[in-house]
Amino acid sequence: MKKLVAALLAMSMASLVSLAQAAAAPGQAAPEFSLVDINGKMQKLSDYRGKYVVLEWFNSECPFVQKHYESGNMQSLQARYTQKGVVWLGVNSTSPRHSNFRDPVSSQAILKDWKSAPTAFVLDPDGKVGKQYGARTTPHMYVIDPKGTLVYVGGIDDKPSTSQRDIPTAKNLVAVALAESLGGKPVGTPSAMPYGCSVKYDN
Amino acid sequence: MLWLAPPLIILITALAPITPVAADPVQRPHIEAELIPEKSSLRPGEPLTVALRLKMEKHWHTYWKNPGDSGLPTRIAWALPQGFSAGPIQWPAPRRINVGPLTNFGYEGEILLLTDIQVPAGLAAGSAVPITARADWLVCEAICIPGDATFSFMLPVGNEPAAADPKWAKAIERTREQLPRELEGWNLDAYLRGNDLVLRLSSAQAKLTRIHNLTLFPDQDGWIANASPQRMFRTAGGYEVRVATAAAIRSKSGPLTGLIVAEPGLAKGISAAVVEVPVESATALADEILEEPALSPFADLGLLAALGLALLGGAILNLMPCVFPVVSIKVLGFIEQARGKPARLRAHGLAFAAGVMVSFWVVAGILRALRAQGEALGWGYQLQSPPVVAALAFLFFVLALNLSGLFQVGSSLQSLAGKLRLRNDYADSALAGLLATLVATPCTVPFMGAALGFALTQPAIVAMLVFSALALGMSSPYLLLCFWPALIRRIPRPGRWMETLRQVLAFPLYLTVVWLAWVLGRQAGVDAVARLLAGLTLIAAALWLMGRWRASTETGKRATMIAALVLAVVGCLFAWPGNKAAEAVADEVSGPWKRWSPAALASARAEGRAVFVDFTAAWCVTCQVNKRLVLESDAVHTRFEQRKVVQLRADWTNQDAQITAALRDLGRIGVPVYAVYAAGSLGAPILLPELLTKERVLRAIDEAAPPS
Repeated sequence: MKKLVAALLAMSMASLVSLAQAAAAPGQAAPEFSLVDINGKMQKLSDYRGKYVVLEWFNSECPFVQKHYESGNMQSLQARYTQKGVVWLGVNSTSPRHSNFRDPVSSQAILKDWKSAPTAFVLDPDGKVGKQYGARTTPHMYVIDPKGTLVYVGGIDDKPSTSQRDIPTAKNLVAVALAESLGGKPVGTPSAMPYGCSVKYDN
Repeated sequence: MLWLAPPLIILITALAPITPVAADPVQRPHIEAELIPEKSSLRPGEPLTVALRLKMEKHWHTYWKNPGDSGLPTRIAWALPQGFSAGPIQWPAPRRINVGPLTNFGYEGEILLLTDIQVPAGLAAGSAVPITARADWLVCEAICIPGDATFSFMLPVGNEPAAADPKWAKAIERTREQLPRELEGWNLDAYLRGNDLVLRLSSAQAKLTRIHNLTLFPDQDGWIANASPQRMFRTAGGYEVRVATAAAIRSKSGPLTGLIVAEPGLAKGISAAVVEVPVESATALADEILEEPALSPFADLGLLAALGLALLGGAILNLMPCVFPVVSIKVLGFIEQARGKPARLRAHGLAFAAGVMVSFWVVAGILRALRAQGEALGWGYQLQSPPVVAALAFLFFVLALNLSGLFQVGSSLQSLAGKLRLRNDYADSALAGLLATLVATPCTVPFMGAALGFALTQPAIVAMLVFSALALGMSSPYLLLCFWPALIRRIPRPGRWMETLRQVLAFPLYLTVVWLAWVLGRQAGVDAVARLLAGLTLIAAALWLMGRWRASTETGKRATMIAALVLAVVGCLFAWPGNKAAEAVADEVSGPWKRWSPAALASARAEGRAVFVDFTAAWCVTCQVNKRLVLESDAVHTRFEQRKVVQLRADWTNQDAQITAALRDLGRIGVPVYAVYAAGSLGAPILLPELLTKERVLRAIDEAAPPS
């Protein structure tokens, strides 16, 4: 009888929710999106066709993100490549129901405080774009070439940790991918394991 | 990874008071950490196990060496004197921890991470050795907090056997026993099939095991879509677990390494084993896979439970609208016979049960044989053929006319089931059993879907057992009546009321004819229905003539009988629908419901939409009831709209290999099946019960597509 009950329970059991990880891989077209940025402007990926685009998944409350901002690592990367004409889009997919959610006004303050200067910073409160890209962690980095093809997907560097001490010795995979792409070379490491906090999606 | 210069270590150890046992536990946000040597002293040349104990607050977790979708493995950096060396962390088997749509691999509660430290042989007794380590971890719940702690203690060196730590030695030993082992007694194969990574465990002893859950934990990221459910199937030689691959798998080379964790275990005392296996492409294995009976998720139902469900389902079949009138008549027959000897009554009951049983065997046998030939058939296939539907309409119509009193053939209705009427009454009862089965087969009732899904994937013997249980369930009411005639005596004595009841029972049968005509219409179009109705009218005329014939003269008798036969034959020929279907069919796809196809489903899911799939068929009564009362109710309709759920309908009224395959993938072989795919998920769907309620569907929508 126990088994029978268990079987019936199993039949009505809710299945696990999982993330569409297969959605965005190197070599594939970057999924199109349009999201409103924190200044109220619509940001559409296809508007940047012809330019390199970096997508950076962000959550100011995550220690991994803090590692790269408090050390100045992310800001210098942003500055170096936006000067070279690369479009840098920060994306925050945190659910408004999560304590880590920051609205556009506080997001502006956070970026200002960190002296971060991406091309634009967008909110993705329903997580739709994040799930389309299979963004798992903050940070989770995507490099898109001028044709709209993903050329790099993964972590910011090859030393998963929360310690700023690891930054000088880590290989910054985003910088490498951008340097190779801008230099007309194929990207040697097109994907790597992303590391960080989980993206705080709306369940 | 040395974080302290050696002189500094000496300084620290010189300043620190000598603590011969474990360093004190440290408290950090949401976690307590402690470094514990298994022994309180060192012996030269004898390795020492040191445990990092982490105790997380409730709901907080730390990570395995592959943290899954996010997170960071716990790390230990050792600062040891010259000649000493620390091995890697011996990770206990982790568990899956779901965080929203993401899945991590890690630990909750209290764990011990063991490390073996090699101790040089030339160590002088009487000295003391400083052991220092720094642990780094990430502890997470809804948010993550990195933490670290540095531990330091001195261990004396002696030649005596060292004393074990009084408090933790046992726990350390237990942890060591439960560490993943080499896989013994099982063969392991891994291959890629479509978007799945399939890991297969086989063993000659597999039949003796009862594993009900298998989980694969790859050492490295990029093999599997971490969050997608891992589905276990039983195979002829053991088990296989299927999990969706990660996009990055294309860049993988070399063997798959990791752990396989089994519940309750792979062998006595072993629940986790080390996996190292080359991953082959499925092309070479494709044929072998098809031959192997991959079991439905109901595999773990177990034979006894399946038999129980079949028995119950069979009994419930008697209450279905298409069966009830027929069986009621049989009961009336029993009442008439109740005056006879109990032994005779019992024999009738057994003959009836045997008729049911043999019919079920025949239907199941045909189904299995056809499936073995590669025909994509499932339960209810009988009604996917227009001629069968038309023939059933004729049968029900004739039965109904008989109940209405248009004509009489003897006192027993069952003789109608064929002109085969034998002198033997028992054959009559057996024939009644066959008739009851014939009308009951398409009615999938709650419980039966699971039992049949189990049955068709089983070896022949098991399948026949399940179908026998079904047959037994269906005949159980008669067997009860026959073996306890006292029950019959509770029914009023035969009289005029029986005639009235018989006439009343004709009406559900007429309605059944309407339903069958509608099914035929959906299969073969309105022309076929018109021909069927004309044919039924001719049959009615023929039977009416036969009824009149009783009162006629001898010559009139012959003439009317010939006329009746001609009418009947013409009626049948005229009404006979071809076996071709499809082109005339009006698809049952309208309004918000779109036609199901694998592509439609995949594209909706790729968009991150929640999807509700209604696997249905015109001939499936349960499906129609659910559709009218639940799926098309205002409440459900509105909720579908609000949550932007994609509604797909897979209509199995006619044969459709794609739908059959999709049903098989869901572990079912018949309709109805209701599959709910959660928004933003690539995981397996939730399957709803076969009898829907509005509440259940609304809840499923809430789960799959929460309000934003």
